[in-house]
Amino acid sequence: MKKALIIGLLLGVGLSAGLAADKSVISAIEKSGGLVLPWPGEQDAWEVEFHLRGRDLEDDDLSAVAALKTVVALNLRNTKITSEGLKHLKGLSKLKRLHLERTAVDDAGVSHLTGLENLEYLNLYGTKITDKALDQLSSLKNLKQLYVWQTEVTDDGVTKLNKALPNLKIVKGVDLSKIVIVKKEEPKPEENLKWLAVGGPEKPPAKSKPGSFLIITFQNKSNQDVKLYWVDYGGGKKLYGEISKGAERKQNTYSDAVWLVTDNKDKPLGYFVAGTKMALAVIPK
Amino acid sequence: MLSLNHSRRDFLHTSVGLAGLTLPTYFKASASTTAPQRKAKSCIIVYTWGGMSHYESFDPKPEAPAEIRGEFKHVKTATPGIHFCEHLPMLAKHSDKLAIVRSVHHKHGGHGSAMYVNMTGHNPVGAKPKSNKNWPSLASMMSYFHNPAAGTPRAIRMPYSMFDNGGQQSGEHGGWLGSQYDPILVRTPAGEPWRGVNRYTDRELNLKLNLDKSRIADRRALLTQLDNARSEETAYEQLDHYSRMAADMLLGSPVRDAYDLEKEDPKIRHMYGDHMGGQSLLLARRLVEAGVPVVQTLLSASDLAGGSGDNWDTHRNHFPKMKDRLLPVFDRSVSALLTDLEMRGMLEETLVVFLTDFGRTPKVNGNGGRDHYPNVYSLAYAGGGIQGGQVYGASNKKGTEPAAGACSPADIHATAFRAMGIDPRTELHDQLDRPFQLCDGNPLPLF
Repeated sequence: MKKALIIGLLLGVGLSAGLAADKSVISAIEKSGGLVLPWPGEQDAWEVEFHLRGRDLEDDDLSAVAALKTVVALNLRNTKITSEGLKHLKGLSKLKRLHLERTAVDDAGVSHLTGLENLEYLNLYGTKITDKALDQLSSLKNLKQLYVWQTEVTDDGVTKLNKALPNLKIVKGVDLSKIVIVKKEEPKPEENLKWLAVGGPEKPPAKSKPGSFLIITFQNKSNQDVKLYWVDYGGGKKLYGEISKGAERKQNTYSDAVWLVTDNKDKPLGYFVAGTKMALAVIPK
Repeated sequence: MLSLNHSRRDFLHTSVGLAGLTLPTYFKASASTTAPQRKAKSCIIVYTWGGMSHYESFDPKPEAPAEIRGEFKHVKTATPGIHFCEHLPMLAKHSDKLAIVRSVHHKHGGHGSAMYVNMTGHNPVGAKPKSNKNWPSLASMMSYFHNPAAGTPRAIRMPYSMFDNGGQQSGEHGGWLGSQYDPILVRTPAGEPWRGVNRYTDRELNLKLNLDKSRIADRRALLTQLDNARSEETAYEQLDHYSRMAADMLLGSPVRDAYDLEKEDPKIRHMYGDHMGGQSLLLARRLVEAGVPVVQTLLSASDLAGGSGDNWDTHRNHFPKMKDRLLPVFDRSVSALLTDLEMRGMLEETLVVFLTDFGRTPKVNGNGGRDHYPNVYSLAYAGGGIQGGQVYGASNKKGTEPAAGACSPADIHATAFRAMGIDPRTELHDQLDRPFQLCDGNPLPLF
């Protein structure tokens, strides 16, 4: 019932909104995977998106978008368009937001955008543009946001454009070459925990006590697969995992925690009690 | 590309030319040209499960007596006049993107009810977690207004459900919207190796999602299994909502690609941090980029379950835990998320909402911890058209109650709905056609 109602409503919206624009124009856009949405707050204003469903979009397909003249926002992210295709956008005088990121667009493509005087947002990250593209953009007086991460644009280019357009925010992003991946060294075990075999002389505490963080490396050197239980603060058992024969498990724990090792039928074999240091716990044969 | 015979789902997707547009937005837009322009297209909810101390995060009290102020100092942020805890040094540089709310309060002292009120914006109804008597979660309600492409889930949550003392909590599901609006649960395939997983969460993942452990390689088997299931339509139809969503996700290539963190630049991965929290937020960005409208993450280094877990419920050893395990992960991964969204030009269209259960008690207790404190706590937003570099409301000098702009979790929700172009007063109907008003709160003036 409810679903039918929603579908009805949405279709209703689609139809009534569609009235303002030529339906065949919209369906041509939809044919190449575009999504056409009414732009909120304005009559006969449209947002067109290809980045989710229309990634196979090619240059010629953009003529369909050009036919819908009142496009306010256009998202071509990660599609197959090139600089050549952008000539179709020249007539979109209402265009405020344009996504061209992660496309093959280069400086030549940007030259087709210089007449889009209402453009406020332009995303060119991950394209082939250089400072030359930025020079051309200085004519776009309404431009407020420009994204140039992962392009050939230089700091000098950014500074120069900002002189021409002081209100423009240019986001150059993080210089990945400056990020050095440092592999954090795993804390090494500093002590060996004592194996307290079930039925042996030494009994473990009945429950864990809260303590500070550390890691125990459990090594299963027995001749069977085992299960690892944490004996909680109330003395209850919580299964944390299984350790196959010969395998190793790094376990986050806290000091003074009690760990029970059983066989895979839950028969208790022995215990380890965490100390205060990173430790190795060898489950013996 | 694999295609699925989706029947009703497909019908919804293919027949709705305006999929993706929120219905109320459209009505609002057509009713008034002065309606605020929708900015956010998607939402990332960052939940610090257990209750993040307001003192040791967004509302330090350097002037308060030592027993309240605690061990940490405060640091300047990029915004004059706004200070954070000293252990959020990276995030302090992003204050220009954050709107902090320092005056949230409610009346629920337990995790279950506090989580419920933060997650749903309504008081608990005392129903079991999966009951359809519950209110839907924020993620679920937002996702209701979106119809993403086939193969793209409406809402995803990760890395697992909220458990308290082994019991799953109410408020993370679709509630009266129905289980088809349950955000689907996934776990990030990377990050610091998953250790100390609570057996409940593992069972839940395995049963509900039918996803094998946590390695991509293991998923091939499931894919094959689903490929086989696909050949018999009835078998596919028999999959429950979760399995179906898992299937959709795994078969829909943009989302599947997003899920594969091996495809991300290693330097970007490093930027987020090699832990559960960082890799979850990275995955959240990738999923949003792939068209998932709402992603909810519980943020911590690794295991959140149990008394020894990395949750924010710091009744004991509060200061070492915050300094060593919790704040560094939050600081690094959230800073990375904001940097990443910004440099991709996605921040404006992505609303980031920070939620938690409650704040922590003013006085440090005998175990060096802080206890539950719902009388006042801090939350935050970034992106989505919300102005950064501002603080809304204030707590008093000791951080014990709101001094200005007292507001509720419902107001926090109303603000988030507004950013997403959803009228908080929208009336929805449950499966018995009874009317419910989405949210009782009022949007805060943060836009």
